[in-house]
Amino acid sequence: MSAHSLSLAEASRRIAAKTLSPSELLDDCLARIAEVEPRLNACIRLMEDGARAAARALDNEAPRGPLHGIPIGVKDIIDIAGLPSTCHSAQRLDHMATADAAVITRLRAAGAVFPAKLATHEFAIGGPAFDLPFPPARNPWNRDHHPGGSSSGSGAAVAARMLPGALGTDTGGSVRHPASHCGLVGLKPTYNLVPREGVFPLAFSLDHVGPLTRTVEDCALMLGVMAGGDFAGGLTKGLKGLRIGYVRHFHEIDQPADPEMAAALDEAARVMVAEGAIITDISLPPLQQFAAVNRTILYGEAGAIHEHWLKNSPENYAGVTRRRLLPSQFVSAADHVQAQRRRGEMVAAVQEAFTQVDLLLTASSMDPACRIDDTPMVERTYPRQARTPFNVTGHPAVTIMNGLHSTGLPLSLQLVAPAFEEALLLQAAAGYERAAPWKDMAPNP
Amino acid sequence: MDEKTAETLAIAAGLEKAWANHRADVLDALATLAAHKANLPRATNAAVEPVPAYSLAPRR
Repeated sequence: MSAHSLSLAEASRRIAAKTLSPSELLDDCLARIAEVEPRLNACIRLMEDGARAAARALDNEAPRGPLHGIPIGVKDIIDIAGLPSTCHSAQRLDHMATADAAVITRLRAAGAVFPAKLATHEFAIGGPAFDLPFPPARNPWNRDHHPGGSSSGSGAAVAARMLPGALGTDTGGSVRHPASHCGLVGLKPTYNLVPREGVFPLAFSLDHVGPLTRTVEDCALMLGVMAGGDFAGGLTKGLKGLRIGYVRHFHEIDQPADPEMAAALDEAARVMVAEGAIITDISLPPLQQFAAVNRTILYGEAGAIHEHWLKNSPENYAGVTRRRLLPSQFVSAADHVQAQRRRGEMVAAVQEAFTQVDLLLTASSMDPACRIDDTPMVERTYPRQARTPFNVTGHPAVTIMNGLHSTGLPLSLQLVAPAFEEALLLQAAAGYERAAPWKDMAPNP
Repeated sequence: MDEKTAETLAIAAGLEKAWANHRADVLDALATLAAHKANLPRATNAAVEPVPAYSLAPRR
């Protein structure tokens, strides 16, 4: 198996065993990028020279830990000192980061190298768009389809085996959406578990930084460095005895899912029971309320961030970004407070659910990836998901692959845990990953 | 919403440039916001306090 196809964990084991060097791994990943990037547009900027110099230095060091010599892609709203952070936008083409984001500092200290800044929806909200300085990323499973977003390049790059892991950000589902559409593991950690300093904000109280990887173990290893702590130690404990609340109404009533997506969720619940989990149905507030609260809070916060540009250089946004951000200039302070009031009740509702169960099982996306050039279907993607609730409440949530649709595109599910229970969340996800046969499926971009 | 009202709101919001050059986007934004307002639950008890930006159980 080529080094670029190894999981992050397996590459890490080989580096620790000195059977693979950081430079060899990086060179193979760069060769893979050169091969498939022209078809996928996952990268905004390659930093080959800097990454090679860093890898060469690491070749001669004792391994610092599981990320020693691991190439990690970085969504281009996250600062790396001395490089532009464009946010995939003409508004920021001349912006130069003067310091590493806090999460980059942690990853760099752990031995990660950074060969590429990756495509995103503009400012993590406006995309996919064809009227920007950089083209939109494509889905490696079918290049005519949407890879999900806003961490679109992160999803495409990891799924296409360009890189073993990448950083994304998630304000309304933007790590988990590309994970869902690209057949990956995408984690939104508990709010503020991973520091946001040096990450261009979309909405301060909804933004999260999270990893995209191909396996749950890889996710746990990245999170261990990004957040500090051991999230991999319990991955073999499995699902036995875990009480899982199945939030069916999200995909059966609130936003009825594609029948194959719904059937795959039911089958996943059956597999979890076979693995020893106890599944019960549970209800939360309807998705439409979560979405309205998320959007109102986002408008209030993003409106302050983008006010200057919306007033003075609206022409520098893609049309879709401008349309998504302009409502922020009209939202009332009273509506913002009403949303924050309801948010408190929603946090309480999810906390109450966790007095009855250990974890929640929900849909992530309601549909497989649509065509990237089908604007109405792309717009339909954004409300037809169950990720937003956990940006509103801040609970950790992971999206993992859950089979293939008859179109050949990935299906997905989502697991959610109590605050700061990422270890339990990843334990359950790993248990399902082992029981289901999806982990080794790969696209051929 | 009629265009005159939309123009008044846009100018009051300081969006003269967007109104002049991207009028359809401004109209779309106002329609989008109206739809969201309709879905936004409102507290019936006028004394209910909003949560701070974020609140969860402390880290264990």
